[in-house]
Amino acid sequence: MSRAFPIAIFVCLALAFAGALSGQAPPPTGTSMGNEKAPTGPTPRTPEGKVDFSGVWDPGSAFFNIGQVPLQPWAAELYAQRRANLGKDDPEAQCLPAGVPRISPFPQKFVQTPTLIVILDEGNVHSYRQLFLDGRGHPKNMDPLWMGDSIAKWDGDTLVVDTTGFNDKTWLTGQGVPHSEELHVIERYRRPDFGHLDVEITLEDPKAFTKPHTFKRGFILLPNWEIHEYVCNEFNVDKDHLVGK
Amino acid sequence: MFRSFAGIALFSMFLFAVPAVAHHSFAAEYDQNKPITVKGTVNRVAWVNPHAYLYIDVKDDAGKLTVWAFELLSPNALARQGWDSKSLKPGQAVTVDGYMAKDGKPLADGSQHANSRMVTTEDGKKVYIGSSLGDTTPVGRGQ
Repeated sequence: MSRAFPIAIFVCLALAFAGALSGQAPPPTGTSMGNEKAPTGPTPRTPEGKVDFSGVWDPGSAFFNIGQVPLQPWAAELYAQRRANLGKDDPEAQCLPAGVPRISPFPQKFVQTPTLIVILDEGNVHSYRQLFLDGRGHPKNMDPLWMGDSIAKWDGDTLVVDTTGFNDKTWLTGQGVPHSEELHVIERYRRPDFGHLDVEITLEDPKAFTKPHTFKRGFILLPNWEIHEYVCNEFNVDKDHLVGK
Repeated sequence: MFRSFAGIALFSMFLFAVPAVAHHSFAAEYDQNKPITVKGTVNRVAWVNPHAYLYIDVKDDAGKLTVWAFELLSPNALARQGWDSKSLKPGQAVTVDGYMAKDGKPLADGSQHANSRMVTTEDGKKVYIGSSLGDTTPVGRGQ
C-alpha cells in the first residue's frame, strides 16, 4: 500500500461528501464491496432449462437510488419531515427489517430450486425473502408483514415476482420515502449473462403515490464470495444517540 | 506521481465510497463539523455489529484517564478490506481521526463517544479506514 493511498481515500471521502451536498449523482457503476469486475460468460441454466439466479450478488454503489417516487401530499410531507430529521427515525437503524425493495449495501445470496427461490440478505437484520414458484397465490386475510408475501412466475427468461401484504413501518430509502400498507411491488429479474443480474422494479401504492413508479437496479456476481455474518442487534448503541438535527 | 495518485483516488472512490454506508444516518448521530484527532493507546477492539468499536485510553496532562469509544465500519466491511479484530493490539499507541457525537453523551459503558474515519499507528500504518460519514445523504443524493 503506497503512502498516497490513505491520502487518496481521504480525498475521495471528501469528494463523495461534497458531491452529496452539491446534489451530484453518485457514480452509476462500481461495486460496493471489492471493486470487483463482473465475470463473463453465458447465462447459466438449471437442469430444467430455467435461468439460474443462484449466486452471491453485489448491489453495487447505486443500491440506494430508487429515483423520484411521485408522492401524494401527505406522503411528501412525511418524507420532508424525515429528511429534516436527518433520517434519525429510520427503522433500519433500530435493527428492524429494511422491507422491500430496499436493500443493504452488502451482498445478497440467491438460492434456487424449481419451486422456490430464497434471497438471503447479508446486511440489515439478515432478512430473507421466499419467492414461491409453485403456482400458489397470495394468502387471503394476510396480516401486514415487514417483508411482504412474494409469489413468482416465469415470463420467458424473466422471473416476475409479485409482492404484497406489507406493513407501513418500513422506509423505501434511508432518507424516509414512505409507503402505505397498499404497497405492491413487481420485480422483473433477468440474468442477461453470467455476471449480471438486472431487476426492473415497479412500485404501486394508491394510498401514498400519485402513480406507479418504476426504476432499475443492477447486481454483479461475486463468484468467489460468501455472505458474512452481520448480527445487527449485538451492540446497537447508535439507537440511543440518534439525535437528528 | 500525480497520475498514480489520481488512479488511486479513482480506485479508492469505488472501493470505499459505499462500504462506508452504515445502517444508520451519520448526520443524525455525529457532527461532521466537529472533526477531532485523538491520541492514545488501544484499550480493546470490539468486533461487534452493527459497527465495530475501537476503545482507546487517553491521558491528559494531569494524568487523568479517559476512555474513548470510536465507531468503526461494520466487521463485514472491515474484513473485506483486509482488517480483523487483531489488526490493532491492546497497549499500542494510535492516533484516531474522526468526528464527535452530536449529543456529547458517553456510551452506556461510560466511554467518550465518537466516530472514527481512520486510525494511524506509530509507524504510520493506516488501519480501519472508513466512516459511516459515507451515508450522510439527507440532501442531494436522491431518495
